[in-house]
Amino acid sequence: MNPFDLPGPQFLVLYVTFCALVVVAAIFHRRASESRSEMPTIDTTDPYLIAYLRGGSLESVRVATVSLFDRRLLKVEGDTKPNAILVTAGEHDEDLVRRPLEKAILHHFADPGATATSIFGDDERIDLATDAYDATLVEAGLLPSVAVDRVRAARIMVAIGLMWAVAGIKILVALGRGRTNIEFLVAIAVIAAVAAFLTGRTHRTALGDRMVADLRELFRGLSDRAGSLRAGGATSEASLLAGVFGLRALPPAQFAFARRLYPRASGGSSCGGSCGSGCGGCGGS
Amino acid sequence: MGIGWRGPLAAAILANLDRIDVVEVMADDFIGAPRSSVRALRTLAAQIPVTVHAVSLGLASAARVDEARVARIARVVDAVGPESWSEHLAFVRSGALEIGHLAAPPRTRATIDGAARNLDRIERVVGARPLVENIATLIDPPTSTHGEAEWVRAILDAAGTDLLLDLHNLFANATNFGFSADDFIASIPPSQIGAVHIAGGRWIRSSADTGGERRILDDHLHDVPDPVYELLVRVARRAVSPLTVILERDGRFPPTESLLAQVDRARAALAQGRALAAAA
Repeated sequence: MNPFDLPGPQFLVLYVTFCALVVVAAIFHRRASESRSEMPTIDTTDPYLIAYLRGGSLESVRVATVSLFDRRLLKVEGDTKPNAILVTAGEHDEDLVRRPLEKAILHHFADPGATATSIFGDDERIDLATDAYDATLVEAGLLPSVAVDRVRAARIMVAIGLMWAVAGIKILVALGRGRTNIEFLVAIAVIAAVAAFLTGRTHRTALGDRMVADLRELFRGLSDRAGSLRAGGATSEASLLAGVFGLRALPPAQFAFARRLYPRASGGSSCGGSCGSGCGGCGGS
Repeated sequence: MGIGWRGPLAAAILANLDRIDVVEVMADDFIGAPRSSVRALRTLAAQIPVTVHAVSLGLASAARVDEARVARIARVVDAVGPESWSEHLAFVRSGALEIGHLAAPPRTRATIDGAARNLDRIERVVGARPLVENIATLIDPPTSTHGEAEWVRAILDAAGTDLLLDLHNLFANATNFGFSADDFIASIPPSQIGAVHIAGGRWIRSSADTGGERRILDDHLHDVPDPVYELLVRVARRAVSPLTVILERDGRFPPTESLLAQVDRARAALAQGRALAAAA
């Protein structure tokens, strides 16, 4: 039986199933091609590297900024709206930290008028620091390289091509038979293409996903006792907790400043703006 | 120098891998654990050398070791790919009765031969013999025909394996039963000391019907006492190859810096022992 002869509704059911299978097959193929049995070594002492792996550049900057607040190297100036909090850093505080990202953030906030969200704008030193994380994680196979991105693009094109080819044939058959009610089919084809795109171009490689999952497992003990963490930067535990699990994992009572700075990323009240620089983003998954 | 991996210490360990060379994971914690936990161990092993430590085989016994249990340990060892693995010279069950702790067996020819046979069985399943660890005991095992040093040495010779020398266990037993820890160390060929454990304990008083004597309990809940570091210097002085030294802490966790200070002090003791050997 020729599936293209099926009546509209039955064909749509078949087509949705087909698209789902193509997208799932593409996901499995991506995971298989981006995995390897040996896990790479990463610097687990650097919470910002882990935050970058988990949520990208903005997330690493958020975690580093909160960590600097925790260590009282940054402070809030004045009583302002959440998305325009003025932040200040001492003139010589860069010497007190060792990580390039921390130095870059302190340098940024040494500028009068810097706000909690201006940190997400253009800043060459911050970009350099986060680019170094990107390069490290790409080299480790945890984030996609240019070559991996090319393979991903090809895979997505093949998946979309398959799905659209089937839809195209059915549309031609329908039009040849004088039927023009193809809107649902077109809509499904577009949605399937978006799904193939989104699932095919994830922030991390499959190996990176596994690293994040394994780090969460290894740090589970810390997460379990998060409520007992104290603010003040006496240890790096709070930074690591935020790096591995996100700012939401910080106990709100002790780390109220994290919610004030980045309400959405910290799981606090909505700032009313869109996710991103307006309110500090939503945090990595 | 390393630390025993415990959930509450995970962050402290991972945040200080620049000050720690190795971690020791408890195999029994991962028997029947979700796949994600075992997989995470592999990722841990990619970050730092890992050794595996087991507590449940009860190999120092005339009774046959439970091979199903050995197989479960083997799965953890396979998953992690450790530098080495270890088990205690203890018995932990009698038939179906689980004792619930590491008990010192009678130090007899039967337990020497039994341990050697069990180590053969274990090697067949796991693929490698474990280092065997001397245990602490509050009761001198009745019906023993051998001293502890002689018994341990006999097992090492019979089984062709090396010793994981627990210096706090040795210190506790030497104190509790009045023998020389130095003589014990001297009786073990340096080439057969594969690794070292250090830990802490506390003084307890035995019940009145057993004399009400003060004894040291190896509880892993306290800091490493000075005599253990002194023993470590002596072991390092005799060592003929690099030693893996693991700090064990099972609870009442101190601040991270305190733990790391103990690791640093043990490292210094190793260096001191080697320096003494070089100067001799």
